Amino acid sequence: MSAPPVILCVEDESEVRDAIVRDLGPFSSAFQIEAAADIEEAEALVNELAQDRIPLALILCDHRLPGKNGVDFLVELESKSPDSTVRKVLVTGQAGHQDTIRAINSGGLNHYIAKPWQPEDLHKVVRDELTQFVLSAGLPPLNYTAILDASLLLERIAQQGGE
Amino acid sequence: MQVPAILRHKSVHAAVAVVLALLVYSILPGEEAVKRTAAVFVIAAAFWSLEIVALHATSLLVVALLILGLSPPTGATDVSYKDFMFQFGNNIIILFMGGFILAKAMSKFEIDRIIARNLIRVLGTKPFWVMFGLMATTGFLSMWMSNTATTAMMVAMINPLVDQFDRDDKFRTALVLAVPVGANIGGIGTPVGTPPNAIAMGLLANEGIAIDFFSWMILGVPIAVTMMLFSAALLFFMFPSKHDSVVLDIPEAKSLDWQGWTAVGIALLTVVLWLTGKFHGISSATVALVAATLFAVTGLMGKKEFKSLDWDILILMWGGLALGLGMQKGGLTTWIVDLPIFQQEGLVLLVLASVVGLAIATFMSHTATANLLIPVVIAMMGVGAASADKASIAILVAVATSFAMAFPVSTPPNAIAFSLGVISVKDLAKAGGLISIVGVIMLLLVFRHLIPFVL
Repeated sequence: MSAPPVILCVEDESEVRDAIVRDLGPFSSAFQIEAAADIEEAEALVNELAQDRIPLALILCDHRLPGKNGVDFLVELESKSPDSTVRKVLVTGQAGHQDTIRAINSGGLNHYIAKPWQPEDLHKVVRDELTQFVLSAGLPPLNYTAILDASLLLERIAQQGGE
Repeated sequence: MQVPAILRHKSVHAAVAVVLALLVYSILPGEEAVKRTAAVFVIAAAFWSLEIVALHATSLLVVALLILGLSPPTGATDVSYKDFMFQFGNNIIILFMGGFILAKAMSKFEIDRIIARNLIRVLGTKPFWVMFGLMATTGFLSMWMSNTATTAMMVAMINPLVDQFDRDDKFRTALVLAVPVGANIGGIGTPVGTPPNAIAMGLLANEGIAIDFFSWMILGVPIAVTMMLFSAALLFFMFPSKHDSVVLDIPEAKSLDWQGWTAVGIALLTVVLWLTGKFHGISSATVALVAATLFAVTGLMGKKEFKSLDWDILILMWGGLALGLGMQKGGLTTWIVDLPIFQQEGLVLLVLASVVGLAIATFMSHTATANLLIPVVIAMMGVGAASADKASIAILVAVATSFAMAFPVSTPPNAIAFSLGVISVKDLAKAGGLISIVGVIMLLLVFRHLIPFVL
């Protein structure tokens, strides 16, 4: 079996990063969870995954980071591969108006989570975004019904038909 | 057990299949046509059972090989390429296409959901009857829609409700299992319920044995209902409920607008015409064509819906019908019947055929099983066999494949229910395995009494 798709979490504060990774635990059976402390590290990871042909499912990205900021990263990713099925979520308390608009219009942002977040909210957002990823990437829906949105995935099965 | 990587590679499987086919071709005694058909059969069996390529791709391969190997100008037989191609327009495939359009309409206008929501509650709130209601509702829908689509719809519907049950309430398992069991068994009910039924009917029709829609149901529905009652009892015994009453409160479906009502009207008309074929004499395929026409002309089913029909399934059925034709015209069927192992008489042969059908279908596609096995079993009966004998064995095998449900891989409905993580392989193997075995035993006990009604 090929390597599972990756959830990438970009966050500079280690406690926050650990908290997010911990909250992502329920998804670790079908997704590989990777964390980066800054954009440089994140970009290296993204390139590595592309080289190994491992799909990137979801990016959970903080905005204000040392060096390049989160929105710049998302905009660059979007311009490099506009057809990518990766889902992009900003997890931040500090993105200004302009940056947020840019993330939506040019960064292909799918969701915005304001800090501080509730674990169940994060869980729901991640679940919905990953479901959309599975559907748009054309992965076999049945591999994900137990942890993602079963109704949406089953609807796809019903449409696909079969014997 | 670790299988070496090289043995898992599809191209290795394909190469082995081709070598095997060439071997059969070179060592088989007899006429050129027999040898060639046998080689195609070997390819078909290997490709379908190992899913070396997609099922419909194998089907196309089979048709192409048959034409290139048997039809003029090869000189092997005088069966025209047109005869193989016309199988794609076989009335059974048109019937199925009509069935697909009907099913698409039911799901587009959410008629399936409305039926499900209202039917499930009819039997009250006693846990056993709730579960039987769920199973029977699924079964009823899968008589008209594909087993897969029905299961996906029903599981999506009950999944949130099942989630609310206590984790240690075994009845959850019963409810989740009731859906695939109902879909698998319900498919037996009508000719359009599941492709193996249609394959049996189509191959019998090529032998000059016509079975109409209602006649099939006379056989299929009683078998399906009996087996559902047994299965519900079994599931209830294995996974009893902790509560005295259970309510499956399915959210309200959207109500029908005039388009929805028109779709209901066309669907009802279609079903009534299918059931009354004996009186008006219009073939069920023609009725299906009329239904498709009405849905298309009214615009209820547009281009998008027509494009989204399960063409791969129709192509899969085409391969089966073409293979049957090839085996018949190529002389392979006469060759099979001369084999000493098939000199058995009567019941032994029927038992053997249904057990083999069940066993194969437990591990591979039911349609592909029917494609491979039904032409062989019809041949086993002998060229001069009575219609009743040929019909018996073909129908037995078709129905037996529907009972194959012991593992997640046995049928797409099983795979869907299993994917939720509520049922274990062990639960499924125990319940599904028992249903498989009891189903085939019951089938062998009752078919003699039902076949006279079918012909």
